[in-house]
Amino acid sequence: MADPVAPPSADDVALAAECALSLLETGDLDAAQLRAKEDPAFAVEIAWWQSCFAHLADTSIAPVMPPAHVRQAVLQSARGGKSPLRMWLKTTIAGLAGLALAAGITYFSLSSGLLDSEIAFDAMALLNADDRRLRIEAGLNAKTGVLTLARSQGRVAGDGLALQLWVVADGGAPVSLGLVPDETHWQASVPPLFRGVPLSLAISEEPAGGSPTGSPTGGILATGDLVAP
Amino acid sequence: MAQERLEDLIKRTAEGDLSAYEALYDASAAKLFGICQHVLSEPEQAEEALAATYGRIWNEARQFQRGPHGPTTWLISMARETAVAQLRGRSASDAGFAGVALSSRPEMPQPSVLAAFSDLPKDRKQAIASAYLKGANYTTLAQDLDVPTETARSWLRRALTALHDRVSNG
Repeated sequence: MADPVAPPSADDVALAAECALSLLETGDLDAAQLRAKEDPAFAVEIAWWQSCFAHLADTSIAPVMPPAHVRQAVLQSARGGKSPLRMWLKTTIAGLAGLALAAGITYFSLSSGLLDSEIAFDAMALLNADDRRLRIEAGLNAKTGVLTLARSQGRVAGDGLALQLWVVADGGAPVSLGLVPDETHWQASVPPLFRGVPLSLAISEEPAGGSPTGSPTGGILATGDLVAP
Repeated sequence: MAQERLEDLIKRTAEGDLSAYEALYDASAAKLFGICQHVLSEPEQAEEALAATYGRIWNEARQFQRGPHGPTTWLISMARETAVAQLRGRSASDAGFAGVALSSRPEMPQPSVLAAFSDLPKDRKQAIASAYLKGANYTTLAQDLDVPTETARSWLRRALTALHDRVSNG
């Protein structure tokens, strides 16, 4: 572990710059990613360089107005629209795999992961609260409204706290689907009014027993859109 | 746009506030598109990278608060990472260092950065710009310089150390 008082070595300064410039290849990259998670001084060096290069880019690259259709796709995607979402969902899931691997969590693909892959779901969602090492997969049967859920192992919430699952219909207020239980597999029921509209799921941290108000009161730890697989 | 306002928009985006996300897009998309275009010269590719960047911003806005960066640095880094990853045909977060939780912001005397960088010899400036904005790796840089890869590496590492010292001692 680096001496917190001593300034970084020239080697570390250069290595951190190489991280920020994406110049490291597999073996070196894996080692550096691991080190960044364990050595705050090294992480600060990388951040310093990221800031440096971002500032250079900020001052030297002229802004260019993107076409209107990109704006549309981006906003549509956040609202739960299907096709633009699929494009970045694939990128996001692949990206989450990388994050998970770096954090030492085994990654499961949506199709053969925490949920039973024999069951065909009409829509699936992935919620990832990676700093809690919590992953939840959800599969929806659109006809019955039954939501099947599977979560990664481990304690869900600290003392006096609980995690609560919410379903949100396009633009609407979150509706509770209950607390995340101790079991790793459970089911919830999506209210009939919600079936057939774009939905997303969210997890919030609440006092033990759940939100006293019927709406999320704590921080939202993860969200995920329910999309056709 | 003022950094405080951008920061507020990112935080509200992290809470799922769609109107904040929309305002964030409007405030930053031109800047980030300029960067995507720089990395990926084909219009369709640049547009795809921009859309993917905002997808990541929507999904990872929570990370912003846990990280050490100011809003502009965070947004630009997201765009650059996404675009370079797309250029290399890989997924964005594979090679990233996002998500590192830090409590303090690294000090960065910004005027010194510009001065120190512009004082660098041309070949060093070009190498750094190539790596940052063209996704160049050491093989490419070595070819550009017509030297063996290991030579390019030690040369660039020395240049980066010198840049760091100039900026730090500003």
